[in-house]
Amino acid sequence: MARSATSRILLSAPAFILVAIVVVTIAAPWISPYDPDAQSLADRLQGPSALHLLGTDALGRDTLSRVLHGGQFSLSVALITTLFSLLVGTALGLISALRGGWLDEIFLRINDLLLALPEIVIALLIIAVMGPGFFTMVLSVGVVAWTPTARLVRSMAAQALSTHHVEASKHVGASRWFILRHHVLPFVAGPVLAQAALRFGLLLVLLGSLSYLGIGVQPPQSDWGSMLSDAQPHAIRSPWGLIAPGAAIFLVSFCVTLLGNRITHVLGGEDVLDTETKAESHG
Amino acid sequence: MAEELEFIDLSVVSGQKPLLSKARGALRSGELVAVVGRSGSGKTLLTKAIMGLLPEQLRAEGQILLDGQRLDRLDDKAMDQVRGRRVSMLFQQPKRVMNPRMTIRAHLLEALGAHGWGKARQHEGQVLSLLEEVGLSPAKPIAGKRPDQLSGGMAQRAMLAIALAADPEFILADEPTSSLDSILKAEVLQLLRRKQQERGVGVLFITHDIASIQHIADRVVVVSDGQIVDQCPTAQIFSRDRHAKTRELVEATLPAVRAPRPENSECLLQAVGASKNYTRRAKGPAALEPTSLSLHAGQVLGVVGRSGSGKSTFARLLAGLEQPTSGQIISNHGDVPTRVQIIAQEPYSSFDPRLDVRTSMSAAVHRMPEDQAVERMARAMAQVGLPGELLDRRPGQCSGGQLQRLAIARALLTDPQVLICDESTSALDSVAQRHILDLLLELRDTIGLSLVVISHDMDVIRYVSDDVAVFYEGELVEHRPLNDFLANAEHQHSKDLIAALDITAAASSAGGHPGA
Repeated sequence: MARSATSRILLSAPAFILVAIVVVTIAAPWISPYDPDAQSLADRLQGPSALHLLGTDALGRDTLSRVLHGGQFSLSVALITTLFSLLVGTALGLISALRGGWLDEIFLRINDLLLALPEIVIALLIIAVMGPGFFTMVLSVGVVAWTPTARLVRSMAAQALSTHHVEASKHVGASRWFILRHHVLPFVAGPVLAQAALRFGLLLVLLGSLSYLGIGVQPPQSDWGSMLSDAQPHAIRSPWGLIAPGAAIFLVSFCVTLLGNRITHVLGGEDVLDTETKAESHG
Repeated sequence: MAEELEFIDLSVVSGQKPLLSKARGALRSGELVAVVGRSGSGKTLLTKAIMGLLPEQLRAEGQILLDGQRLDRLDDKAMDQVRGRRVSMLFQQPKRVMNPRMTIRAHLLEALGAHGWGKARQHEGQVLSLLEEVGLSPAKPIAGKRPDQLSGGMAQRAMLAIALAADPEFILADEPTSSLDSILKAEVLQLLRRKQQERGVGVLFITHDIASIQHIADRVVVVSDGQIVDQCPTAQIFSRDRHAKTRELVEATLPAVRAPRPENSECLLQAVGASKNYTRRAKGPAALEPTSLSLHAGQVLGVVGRSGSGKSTFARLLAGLEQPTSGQIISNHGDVPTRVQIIAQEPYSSFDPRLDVRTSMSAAVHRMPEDQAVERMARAMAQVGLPGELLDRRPGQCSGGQLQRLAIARALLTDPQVLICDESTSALDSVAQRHILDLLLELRDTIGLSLVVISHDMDVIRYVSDDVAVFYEGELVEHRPLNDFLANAEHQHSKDLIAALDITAAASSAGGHPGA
């Protein structure tokens, strides 16, 4: 018997790296060597040393401590936005597929419209109106981030609903909830999770860009994006201020992308196995 | 001219598991040998092994001899000189094995080995005469068509022409008639027998249906669970002291003896001038012309017709899955609506492949309290004669026959009065088919179920029906009690259907086979 799909996804290198990163950022208050906000102008813009493993920034703050603390903010905002878009997207996609008709048409057009506009432009617009901050940041990205999920859910659900076995279930009296729970959600879940993992990486980068532009997180709070913009003027003299947060963003989005691919692969692989057993019993 | 295609201790192994073990036999030129067995018995593997066309994960052992030459030792390149030239094949789905972008002419030229410029014109006469030989005339326009432009029967004839093109010594035919309706099946069988005798070809004919070959085959080989369990001249196949598996196959073809149902019960379903037109335009042919028909309690109505004749549309209207364009379906007696259920053709698609069967079945009872639902499910399983542990399997782990029973059990959970079976047995082998039909008749007798049995197979209709309704090109052309129908049918299509029941007689008189 092959290992279960869940264990094949979780027992993989990208999953381990991600878990390690999450644990380290959560534990930041205890494990970081310095207070991330403690300034020491005497030690400014240093390279890596035994005292400061990743050097210091323009105000003499320890880069390692700042990356660890900044990760808390970057990762949690990206996670909240991803979960938000997953929930909203799944709900709207399901309603659209189940109801069909004019509602579906209107939904699709709105979806097209939002997909056509670059996410960052909409986010800029909303922040310009509402002012920067944690809540605005989640909202500004969340407003459009659900559209790809909704699209995917809608088309997968519509496909599931058009099968013969759903017609058969309906005809023997299955409720809408029964069909949703047993025939549609299990069918939709895998691809949507895979997509969510990929989306998480994209949103992490998008949110980082907002902070980099100075309209995301506001000082004294900082995240990886704002660390990049702080470090940029001193890039030549002290590149470590750029490399550390940049590498963190890269590593996380790279790992979630690998994880997303792995989910797709594992679920796809399982389907292939199913058809094989079927063919065998056919003779 | 080769004399003999022989296989000695031929086994097909998947890993350690033998799918076909130590099969031994020979096919001589000029004889037609039927290999009969149920789905999954290994009969198709036999042909694939002989042709060296097994899927990669399977391995053949043993010897295959064509006039003493070891085919199993030949490499692929050498086998290409055998395949299609000395030994050719016929398949169940001709359109699937032909190239959809190539014309019939191109297929024939390829089979004739005529490649290159100018060869086409040179061989045109041969192409046309081959097509005419298999009854495709006028040959010229047909030669220019692609496979998807042909009907099922024509495609099967075209494939026979392709198989005959290189003047092979042997033909391996894998269920070439099972997807055809009764009339076409009879025609193709006669044609195959005639060509086989004219050309003196040896034919190995794989089928699950003994009835269809009983008068055209010289010998019958019975395969069960990967083993040849019985073989004898066709005439002896019906004797009582044959192998148990042979008996099982034979009994699946015998007509039933039962008393017709008196027609004095209440009317459960009635179509009044019901028609269906799928296109928005009012003009153009309707899927179903206005049809009036009624179904009474305990009655078995057989609905027969070719694909596209409107019989499935009629079933969907009766089941309430679709609304008629005009007319109506009256589905109540008094004030109570009639409970109608429908069983689909393809067993594997009527259950969600990801769910265990229990969950799929619970669709019918999930509104009930838990203990009541469990009890009803157990009762339904008992009614269709299946063990309860089947409920924990996934559809892919069940056989087609089991799944069709499960579909019936699921329908029974809703306590139906009418069960519509839309080609529900046509994906099954003849034994499984007969078991399902017997189950349906038993349910009619025990719980008073009315049945609408829709089929393209006249044998099925004759076996179960009290009354027969014939659909032809979207129209109900004949509707009579079974015996009256068999004796006095008036419409030409009905007559053809009845004649096809006796393929047998027709094929044997055409073929002049002494054993028949």
